[in-house]
Amino acid sequence: MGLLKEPDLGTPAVTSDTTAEVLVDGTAVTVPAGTSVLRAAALAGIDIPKLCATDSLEAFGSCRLCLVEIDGARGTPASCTTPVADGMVVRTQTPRLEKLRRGVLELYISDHPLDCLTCSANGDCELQDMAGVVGLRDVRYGYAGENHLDAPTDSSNPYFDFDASKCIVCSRCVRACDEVQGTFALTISGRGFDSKVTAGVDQPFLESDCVSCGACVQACPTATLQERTVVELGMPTRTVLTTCAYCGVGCSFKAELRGDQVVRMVPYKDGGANEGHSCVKGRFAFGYASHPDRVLAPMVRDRITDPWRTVSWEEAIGHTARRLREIQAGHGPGSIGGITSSRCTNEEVYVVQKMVRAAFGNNNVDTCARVCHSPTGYGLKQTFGTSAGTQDFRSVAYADVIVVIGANPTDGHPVFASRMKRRLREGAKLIVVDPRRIDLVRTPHVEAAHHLQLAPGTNVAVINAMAHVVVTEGLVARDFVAERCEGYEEWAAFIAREENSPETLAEVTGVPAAELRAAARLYAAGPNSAIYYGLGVTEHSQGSTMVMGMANLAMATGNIGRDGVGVNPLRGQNNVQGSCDMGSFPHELPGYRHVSDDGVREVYEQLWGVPILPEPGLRIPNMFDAALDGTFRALYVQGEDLAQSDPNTRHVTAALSAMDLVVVQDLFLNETAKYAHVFLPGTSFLEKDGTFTNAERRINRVRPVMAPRTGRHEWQIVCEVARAMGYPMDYPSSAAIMDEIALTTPTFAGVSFATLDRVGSVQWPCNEAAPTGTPIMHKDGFVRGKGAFVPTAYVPTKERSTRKYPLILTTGRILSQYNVGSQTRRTANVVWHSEDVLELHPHDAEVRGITDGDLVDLASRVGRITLRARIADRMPVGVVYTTFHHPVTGANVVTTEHSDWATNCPEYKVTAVQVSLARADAQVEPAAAAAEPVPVAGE
Amino acid sequence: MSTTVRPHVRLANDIAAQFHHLPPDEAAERVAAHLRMFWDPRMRAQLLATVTADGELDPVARAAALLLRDTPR
Repeated sequence: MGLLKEPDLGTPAVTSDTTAEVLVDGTAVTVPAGTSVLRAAALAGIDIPKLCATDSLEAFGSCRLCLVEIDGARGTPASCTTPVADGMVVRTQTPRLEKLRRGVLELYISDHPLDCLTCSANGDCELQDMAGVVGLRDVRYGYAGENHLDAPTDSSNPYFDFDASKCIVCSRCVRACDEVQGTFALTISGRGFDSKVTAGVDQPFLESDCVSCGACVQACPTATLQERTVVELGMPTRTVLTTCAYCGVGCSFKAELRGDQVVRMVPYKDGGANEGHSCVKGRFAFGYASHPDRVLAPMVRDRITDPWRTVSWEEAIGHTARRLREIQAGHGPGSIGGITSSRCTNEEVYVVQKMVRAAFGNNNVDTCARVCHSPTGYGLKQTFGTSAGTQDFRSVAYADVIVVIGANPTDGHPVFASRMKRRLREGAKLIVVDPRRIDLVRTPHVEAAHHLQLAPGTNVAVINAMAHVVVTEGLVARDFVAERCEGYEEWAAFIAREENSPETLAEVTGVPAAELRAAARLYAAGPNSAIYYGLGVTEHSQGSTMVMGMANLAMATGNIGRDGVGVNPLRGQNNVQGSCDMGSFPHELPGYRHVSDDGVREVYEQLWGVPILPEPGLRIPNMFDAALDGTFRALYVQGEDLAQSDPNTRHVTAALSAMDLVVVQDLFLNETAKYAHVFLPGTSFLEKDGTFTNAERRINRVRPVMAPRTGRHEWQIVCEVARAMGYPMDYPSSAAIMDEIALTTPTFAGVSFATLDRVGSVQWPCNEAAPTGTPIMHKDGFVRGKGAFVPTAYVPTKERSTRKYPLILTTGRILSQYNVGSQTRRTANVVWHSEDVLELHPHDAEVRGITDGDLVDLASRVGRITLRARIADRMPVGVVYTTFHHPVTGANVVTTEHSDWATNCPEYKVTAVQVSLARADAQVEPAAAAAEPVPVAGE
Repeated sequence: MSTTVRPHVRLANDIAAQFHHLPPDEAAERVAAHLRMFWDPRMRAQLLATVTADGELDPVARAAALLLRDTPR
């Protein structure tokens, strides 16, 4: 398509049970009551001139361009702030209005650079457009008067400029920051002629609270706030609609291009997940796709100590297939396996699990969800019957009480956080359950009613205590439970025990009983209470128990099956949901159906023409253990950096080193590639053709803006390896892969590229019963029939602080970086996070003689690293925190082999550590060198 | 925790600990069902191979392993 310019109806849509019919310039239009005259006119096909109005922001009424005449009304009211009334007669073009508008434009233009031909917004400037629309031909005041033409440009932000000389002070940027993003980083300072847009306390953008989401840039009607790429490259000429490749929010974007060069990524207003909003990663951090570090040709080597040798695709694929078969011949069919990637499309993931099951002939396939949300899959399947969140993101707008557990949405899922903050500003109550005082606890116009600052590792104790209050104080939704659930009596008897009371558990959790009781009562009172959670729930030795505990609480209070409620995982990577849906777990075929199910296996056996093993295969940590005992010898790794992201780096690298063949398919030579024998270059999201499924089960198209720079789509590479192994696997297109998924997976039965191209996106289940998808699950009944209450005993982690390791380390991520950082570290986002640092409480720092910025040693029983300290009073005493975005830091050198009991999801959130000042001559060392040899189970 | 505990023993003990609130027989059945559902056969075989000798195996995990021996699937 050419450049897609979305219509701007001037003011946001209004929902109302009643309508009003108005006559605009003789055209009748019926709109919901409360709609602005400006929007009604636009819906009637009549564009009223405007500058300060845009349909992503509430009406402001400052520019005075959208004036209209209304029969029976005095004067010329602004149409943006005037709601329609039934029978209203509006005129948008009269000599009086034309004269007024020209006068307004004269004033704007008298204080604006007349450099349209060389301006970066030439052709995309609403001021320029309006000057044309009102027929401005001269400016009576001249240009020599007092003006702002010498106002400076702020170029501190790496992605956009703020050219104050072009600002018309329409406040759209300020309102976007407030209303859309919810950061309140911008303001209008000064009065009258001195009014100006200011970031922070008159700071450069980079030093202010600005989070670089780009909402202000998008809202700006002139070149005042402009993407640096537009300044450098010029205006884009065509649009490709696609999906962001970062977090599990899965924002829809317009990739705006010149040829196949991306000029800018602009959030798409019709995107169901983001509705026109974005964050700094999706909006700006796409430059990694063209980074010179990209490897574009396949490489092989015999030993990991050898240099890489660039080879043809044919040689790489033939070599890979031959070695896999040789290893199977020598060590058995189960000696090889594969790992799928949550950064790849559903279609790319599907073919990898198919290759493992059909060509490898085993179920040794796992996915990186193993180390993040596998407990979500287990816990929600046990209780609700399906491994997915219950709501769409839109639902949060109907929540009265929002519980955020073990998640930091403003950093990890910023676009959803903005939707959540909007609802909180409207008055919804917030409960935060987190050891750290995350930003959401107190942020502009948002303050948590309760912050349950629990000790790391005590989630289950807290959720049990909340349920105890609900049960023992008579707050159970009896009708809902009786009609919709089973197992309640047994669970209620368990949870009502004194051992689960807030008073008993306060000593364990550190949460005052009165505070916990108040939070539980607030949640139960709702009336609509919603739980949102992240890896602070799942990455524990009791992660699956906690997921079931949250499901119990939601069922007990009837908070399932409608808008504003539910239990919702905030997924880390863009396609975590999809990679799990596609049969990436070693015990499940696509659609979460166990491999022991004869009927399900038969579907695939008939289609694929091979038998499928009825027994589960190895999970990622089991693969490592088996590699060290010599029974697992080869691994095909699609787009995951095990050596950086998985716990206990030394254990992981020892396992990788023990294998005869490691195949890495990725964009870059990552840490895992150091242990690889074959490197198969992958494609960035700008080259992929497929689908991602986000945290709300929304299946979105990923459309290519250019051909694969490697010459191969990733699914084609996998098919070629399978064929070279003797298994016929081929598809004419990625659309055909989705057709096979739909054919074999009941929840995807109605999904096809054609459907997605027609309707935009759908949320699974999408089938005959729900042809347009299912935004809210479990509405009339649970997927498993009755919702199952499961008793959730609190079993403390085995990882304990000791005299030698007295602190607890918890790990996470920050706004500007993504996962192992292989993408974001190769963008300008590094200006916000050039290294991983260790946050610790002032008391813990003081007793160790540590000051802000000191290099410190962080040691656990499995390893030691060196990094810089940051003193932070958001940390509780006794708890320290770091991120894992930089391989040089090697945060996972210190994390341990402890894992969730049900799924083996690693316990990243609880590691006993000691922190001490590093030697005077210490540096942040490469992680591998920092790791000390220590005995580890299985080695 | 000893760092020399073999992985299948450590993992089986972790699962068993979650069911200690149940009567021992029921707990063993639940653990065995979990192992059948989620463990690769070679891991179950490793557990069975050590069930009589391994002093570090949780009693519930041991009982579950014996159930696996009697009823593999």
